[in-house]
Amino acid sequence: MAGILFLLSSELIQAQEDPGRYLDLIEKKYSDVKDYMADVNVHFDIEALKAPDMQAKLYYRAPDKMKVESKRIFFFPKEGGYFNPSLFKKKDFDVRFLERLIYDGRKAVRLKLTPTDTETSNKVYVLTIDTERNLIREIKISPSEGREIKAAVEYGMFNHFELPTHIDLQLDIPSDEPSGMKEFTQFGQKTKRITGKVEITYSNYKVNVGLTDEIFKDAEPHRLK
Amino acid sequence: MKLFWLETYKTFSRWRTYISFGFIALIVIMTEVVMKLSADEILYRMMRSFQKDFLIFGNVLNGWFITAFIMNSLHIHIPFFITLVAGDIVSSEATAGTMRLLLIRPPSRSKIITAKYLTTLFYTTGLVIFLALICITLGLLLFGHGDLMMNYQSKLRIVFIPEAEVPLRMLLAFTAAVWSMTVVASLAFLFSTLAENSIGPIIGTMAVVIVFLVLGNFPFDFFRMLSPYLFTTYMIFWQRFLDDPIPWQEIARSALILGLHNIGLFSIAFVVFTRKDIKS
Amino acid sequence: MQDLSHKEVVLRTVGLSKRFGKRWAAKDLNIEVHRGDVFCFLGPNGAGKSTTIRMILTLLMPTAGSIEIFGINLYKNRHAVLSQVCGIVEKPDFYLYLSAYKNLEILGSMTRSVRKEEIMEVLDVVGLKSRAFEKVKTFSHGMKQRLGIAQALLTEPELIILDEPTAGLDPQGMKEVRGLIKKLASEKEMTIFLSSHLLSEVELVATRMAVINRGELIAQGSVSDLLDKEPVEYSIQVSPLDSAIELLRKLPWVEVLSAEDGKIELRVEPGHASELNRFLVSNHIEVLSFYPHRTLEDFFLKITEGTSEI
Repeated sequence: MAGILFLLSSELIQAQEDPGRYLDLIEKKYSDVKDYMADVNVHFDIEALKAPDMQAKLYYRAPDKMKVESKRIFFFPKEGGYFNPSLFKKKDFDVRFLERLIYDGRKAVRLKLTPTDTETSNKVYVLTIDTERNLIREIKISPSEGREIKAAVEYGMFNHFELPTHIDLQLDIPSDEPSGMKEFTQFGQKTKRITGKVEITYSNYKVNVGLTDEIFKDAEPHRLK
Repeated sequence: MKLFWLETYKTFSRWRTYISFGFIALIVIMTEVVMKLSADEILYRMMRSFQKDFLIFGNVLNGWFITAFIMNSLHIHIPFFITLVAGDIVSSEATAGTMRLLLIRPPSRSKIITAKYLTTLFYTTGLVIFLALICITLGLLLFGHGDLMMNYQSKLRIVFIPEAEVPLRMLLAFTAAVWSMTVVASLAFLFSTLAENSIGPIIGTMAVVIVFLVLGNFPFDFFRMLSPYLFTTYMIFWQRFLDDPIPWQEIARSALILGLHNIGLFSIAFVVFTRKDIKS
Repeated sequence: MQDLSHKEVVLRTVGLSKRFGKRWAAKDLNIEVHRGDVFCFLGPNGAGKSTTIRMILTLLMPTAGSIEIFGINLYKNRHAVLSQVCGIVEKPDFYLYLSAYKNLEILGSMTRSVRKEEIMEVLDVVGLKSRAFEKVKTFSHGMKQRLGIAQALLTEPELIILDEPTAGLDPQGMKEVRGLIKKLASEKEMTIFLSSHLLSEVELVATRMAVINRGELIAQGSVSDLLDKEPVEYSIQVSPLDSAIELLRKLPWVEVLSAEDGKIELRVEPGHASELNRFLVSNHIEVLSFYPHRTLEDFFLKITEGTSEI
């Protein structure tokens, strides 16, 4: 009887827990990170993109300024490619608790984030958060427009802040084939997909260096229609 | 060698030889100016598959890319300019009556036809090299330099070539392009040997090239079966030097097939010319 | 008959034949051209003259037979033979976009290295020195013809082959070319093989000739020997006319053709020309004038119509 009561109370406790508080904890953890800059190395393991490792310098300033500086052509994943502690604010999402788990030997929770303002964004995220260290370990963007992106993050200590050292992105996205004659090998045509992995390595972090607006001028990548 | 230089002198003494160079320069300049104005549209089309998921930085539309882009149209306009000379080099002598003067000289017909063929190849090489120089020079001036990004849309692949590797690869690619164009030159040369006027060889060669290109690109099973037997299928093997990894075996095979075409076409021209009766 | 046994044969064809389909353009031609000859090749249109010349100059492959030049088989040692031969086939065509000088330089250097002085010298010989550096497309037909002769002379060949060298020239031009041909033969000791339709010209320059009709050789020899075999027509003025006519009609080797206005037209068998004059004088007939009408044209027309046996 006591056991049943204990179980029931645990369930009740879970049901009443605010999953959004994990996001608050992460936000609080990184509230002192005003800006950072780091060296980035991107390694592609995608069949449709044969490229050597690309290097660049990344600049970030809270809440949403980002710039990449590269002497050469540089491809950088839009989703999950860089660390933005302001991205997952509780107020922007409807947070749902999915499960508790052990991730990489540590206690973790899995949360589903649905944007509250669907006009600005319709991306649904599933986050795996290390609750012992308040670190986002996995980001999964749920299928939208047929896209699936999953990022696994590892951290290191820089200037007393735990910042990502390695992000592994798994991609499974549809291609946008050129118009014109397509393959006529059979009735019906399958849309081709781009699958593979992108490994992003961060090093040489400099945190809170006082990045000015000047740096983020001309921060736009190639404007595409 | 003397005969070769005499033939080369004769060829380059005619203003029509320079039409080709002039038009190539014009085409390249116009293309690069238009591309400069349409840079965004070009990038959009090229990056369509990746733009939703990647931010793209750097000088993508640089001089190397422009050069590769223009080279992709190599098999359309360059063959025509090649046939202007290759299709004319033998038949024009028949039309002008100078063949009679030429063939009563001590040098044998085999030496004369060989000299003319070498001149044709020399001109073809010069034309492609000119294209390369003007593309690269103007491209780098207008668009700057950077890594080369090749978009193989039919295979849904983008290949990056680091800038340090690009010059050598471009050199190899243009060498391969020269080799490809020599087949067109050989075909026009053969037709020139068979004809008594230049219009026939020029039109005939272009007709063959265009028809073969069209047939080889139809996405139907029948034409795919036919495609390995068409020399135009191998003409774009220069692109393989801008791939990663470089498919050396495929390149060697294409080069060999094109080389065999050259040998065959010249051999027929050789036999025809050395045995034909000069009645005109 | 001229004795040629001591003279070197520069050009010899043996059984030379050429067939186009079923038609024989040249059949079994046996021609000999001796050193120093001005050898003329005569025949009506389509007889095979150009075909023969083209075979000699290796523009056409013979169907049968052989060609020897300077005693060497042409097709076995073409380079060595043609180094000493030059020619013009039909109208001379040049690279119109090049100057006269450049044309000669290119054509000449295919045989041997030619110096600028040599080029200017031959241009001077043919009267084109002042136009040396002008493009050939500005030349008249006559000038191109002369340039053709210049290119034939440039490498100082031993044998020159000319196909219709005076075609399209005005009378002055023709005279100049004739003079040049004679000069080349006499002063430069070149052997000249030429074809022509202008029989009066041939009569003036040729030392030997061959006549071809329908691809077959029907006569060959020196001009004088060939013509001496034919009856000659004369126009004579004599007094008294009637007596002369009566006497002439008795001669078996004379045919009186007409007699009017004090003139008698006669045809005399070969070899009796001098005898005719003696006969008239010995019979007290005064000979006031005595003109032969013997021409190559008559001979040519006669044999090509098949009315004479040689």
